[in-house]
Amino acid sequence: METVAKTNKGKRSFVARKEYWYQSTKVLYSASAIILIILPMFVGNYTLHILTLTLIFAVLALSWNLVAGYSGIFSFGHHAFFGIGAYVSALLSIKYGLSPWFGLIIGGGIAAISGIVISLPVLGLRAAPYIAILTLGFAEIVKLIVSNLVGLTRGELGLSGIEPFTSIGSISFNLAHRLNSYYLILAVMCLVVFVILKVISGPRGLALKSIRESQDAAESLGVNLRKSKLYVFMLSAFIAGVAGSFYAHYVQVLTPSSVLGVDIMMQILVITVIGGLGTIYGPIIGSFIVVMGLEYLRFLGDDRLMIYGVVLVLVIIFMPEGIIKKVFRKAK
Amino acid sequence: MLSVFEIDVFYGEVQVIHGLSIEIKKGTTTALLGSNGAGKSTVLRTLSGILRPEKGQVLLGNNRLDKIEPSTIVTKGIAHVPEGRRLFSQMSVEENLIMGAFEKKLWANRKDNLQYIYDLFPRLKERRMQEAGTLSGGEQQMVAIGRALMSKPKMLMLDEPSLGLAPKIVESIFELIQDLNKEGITILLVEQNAQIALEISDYSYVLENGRIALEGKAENLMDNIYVKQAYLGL
Repeated sequence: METVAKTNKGKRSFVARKEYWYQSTKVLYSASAIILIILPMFVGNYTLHILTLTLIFAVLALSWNLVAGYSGIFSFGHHAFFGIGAYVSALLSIKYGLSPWFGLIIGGGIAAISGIVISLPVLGLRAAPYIAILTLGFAEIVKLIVSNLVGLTRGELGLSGIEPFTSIGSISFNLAHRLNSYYLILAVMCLVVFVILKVISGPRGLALKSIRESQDAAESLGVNLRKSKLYVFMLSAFIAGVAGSFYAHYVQVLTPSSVLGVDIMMQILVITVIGGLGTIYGPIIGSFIVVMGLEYLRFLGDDRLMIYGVVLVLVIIFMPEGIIKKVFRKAK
Repeated sequence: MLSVFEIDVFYGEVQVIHGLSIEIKKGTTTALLGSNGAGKSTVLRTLSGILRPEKGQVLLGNNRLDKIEPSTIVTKGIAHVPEGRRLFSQMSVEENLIMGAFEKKLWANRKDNLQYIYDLFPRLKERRMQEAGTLSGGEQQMVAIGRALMSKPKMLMLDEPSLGLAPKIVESIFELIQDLNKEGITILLVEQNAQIALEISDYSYVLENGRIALEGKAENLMDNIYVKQAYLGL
């Protein structure tokens, strides 16, 4: 291969561009650690609430990113898993007095099962528009079921008085102790990031990424498409279900439109695209930008949605790979 | 080593291959020539299990290849470098190579095999963390061949390795193919560039409309006036 090496010698197009100190990933990681762990101790209840919501959406976007960003399957029914996790966990605690801690797992588990159910018809589809319609339709069905099973879910009236997470010793998680709830969702998010990193760097992650790039080539190399897709739907639905269950016991009020509305899906989509599809930290940064941005622009009334739209368009035009890759080139 | 016996292959309703038989001897380089649409790639796709013959047999030794799962064919020692390379363009060079050892039986040896590929293509080692889609055409072809070699194949099937590459690079790719053949890997080569393919092959088949139009030792074919007119453009 000597000749090839020689002919290409002149083409050093991939000399690293200059990197500024603020672009190093070390700065990114330590800054985010400080912001996420220390800063919340010094903020008021309102800000703490917003931060908690931000992390819930970060977890949700992280889970969707597994399906859309890493595997390239654009499912638009992800909010269904969030809603299923929320309702299952809330109902179990209201009707049967089950501890919310178990609800977290069972809510995730039921969401994972529904993830498998919805992935079955998706397996046979390759064209993105059909997958989008199918998954969106599935989420609408879930929403209709929840709003019409009035006997169980009280329909649009919603569920209220959902138990907060039971205290562990002296650490309680009711609305008077928001900081504890914040740390709980932070821990959940760290765990989720850890799991995703683990999956992505292993053989399963490799299989998922190869499916995103070319299903035919992946299959000819021995990737089992069905198994991989089932797996990724199950895992991401589980994480979304856990996020939903946390949301239910944190906010303590649920209505079909608050957890199953299609606007939740839009939010997940925008967060992930702005932050960076197929990256680990993109959905987290995206969540901070979108959730906090929308909250602090509240004084603009509905005009803020216009800004939201403009920002989204600008991001897609100028940094299609997302903010994280633009600013921190080496970030995962 | 590999024999194909009277296969018929269809794309939906359309029959592309008609009762085709070929024989590939161990340790040789065999070329499959023919113009566009003659069915060359279809033959390779059938051998690697992506397509199934409606009739006939594909035999590797005494094993029927047309009856086993496509994803396990790679474990039988047959690797396919597809037309247009089909790399995973947004994955790194190393990830692309490791994908070549994805099959369970190969996974355990992936590190050793990766080292073998890097020894063969030091250039790929330099670029191991780079996205495959950002490489030059020649380098991408190296990744494609490297990915196929990750399964330590006994037989390597290459579909148009010269496609879209500069003449100089084509030359070095063919040198590499010859080196691999000397190492004992049986080569099945599909090419439109008949000149260069005949130069390096021992035996050749010329395909026309899904049938063998001509076959023979490469040096004999080279002299055949028919080949000259039809495929060498002389």
